[in-house]
Amino acid sequence: MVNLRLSIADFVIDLINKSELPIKLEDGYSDFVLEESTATASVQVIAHAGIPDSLQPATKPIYSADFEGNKLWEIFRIEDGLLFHVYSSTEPYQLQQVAKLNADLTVWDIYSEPVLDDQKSVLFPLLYPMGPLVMYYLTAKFDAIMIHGSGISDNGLGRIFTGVSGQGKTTMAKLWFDAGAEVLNDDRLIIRNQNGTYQIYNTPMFYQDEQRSAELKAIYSIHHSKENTLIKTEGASAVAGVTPNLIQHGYTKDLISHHLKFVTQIIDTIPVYKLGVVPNNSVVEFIRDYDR
Amino acid sequence: MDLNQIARNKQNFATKKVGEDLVLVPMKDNVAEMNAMFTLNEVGSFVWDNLNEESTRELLSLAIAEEFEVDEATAKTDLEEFLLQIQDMMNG
Repeated sequence: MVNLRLSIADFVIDLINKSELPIKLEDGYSDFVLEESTATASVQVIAHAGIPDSLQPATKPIYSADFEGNKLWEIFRIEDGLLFHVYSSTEPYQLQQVAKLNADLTVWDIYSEPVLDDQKSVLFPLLYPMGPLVMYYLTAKFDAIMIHGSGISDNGLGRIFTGVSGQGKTTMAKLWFDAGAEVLNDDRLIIRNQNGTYQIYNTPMFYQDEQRSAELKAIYSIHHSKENTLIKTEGASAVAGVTPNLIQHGYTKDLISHHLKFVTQIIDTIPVYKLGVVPNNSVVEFIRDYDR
Repeated sequence: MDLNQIARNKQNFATKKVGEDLVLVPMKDNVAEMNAMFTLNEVGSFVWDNLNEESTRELLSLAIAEEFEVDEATAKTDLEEFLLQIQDMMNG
């Protein structure tokens, strides 16, 4: 029995509770809950209470992530899929969850330790960073990617500003917001191929926000500059400009190929620019003028 | 680094053809180094595709000369440029 349905990037995720405890989601998911839907789920998340000892890995991790020196999660290869050890983002080295993902990347079994919420024991199956892991493998399974970037909708024109940390993605979101554009998200986005057009979607964050999306019209790889500059890139150069900014677990050629293939498809129809940015409102008018 | 070593190292790269070019992503300890991604032009892509453990400089130069209808000297220069580029990347 499905206990909760989520819609993220127009993908349906079913949450199935196999425990006696209630399941809850962080506030950021509240606007992504589907009230009524008969759509087929892309992914199932099955929530279990407690972390069984049997889910200890027998091998070394094939991939791991750290944040500010603390382990955030590790991935192990197992016979019938992948095993994830997910650590608390607030209490270092505290094992928060263990999850199994089937080889088809469509069914998650997530084992969580109960936590107290309003003096009741509950499960948070998608507690950060588990939720973003589920989202990432959703995009890896289907025709989609996740990217670090600011996404805005400027009169319906979806623009993504991407780049490494410190190049001004959040600043760009603020500048476009001040100029009347809708900010889809300033950190993490999903791009999905919807019948030949590319849609940008926001995803649940740690704060509450409504679902947002726009049709992608241009991607800008940004860097600081003394003047606003725009250079259109083509072919392999465009692919090399965008792909490093994807959210990616590059431990298999299959995953890397998925990302490269998707970006190669995008650049067939969506222009990719190198954008030198002066971090004030002049850059907004500079881009709008370029489009006119 | 000789041709055989380069040919053996090919398995440590994920590749994607983009038009005539080839995008290469090096894998180190089985993890992709996306920031070390680089591209080969049409000639480099052709050499990459045809490079195997049986390859010799002579055979590859001849293949380049035939494929791109250039003289042998030009083909040799193109091949050496490719090898320098690929060695830099593999050593990097």
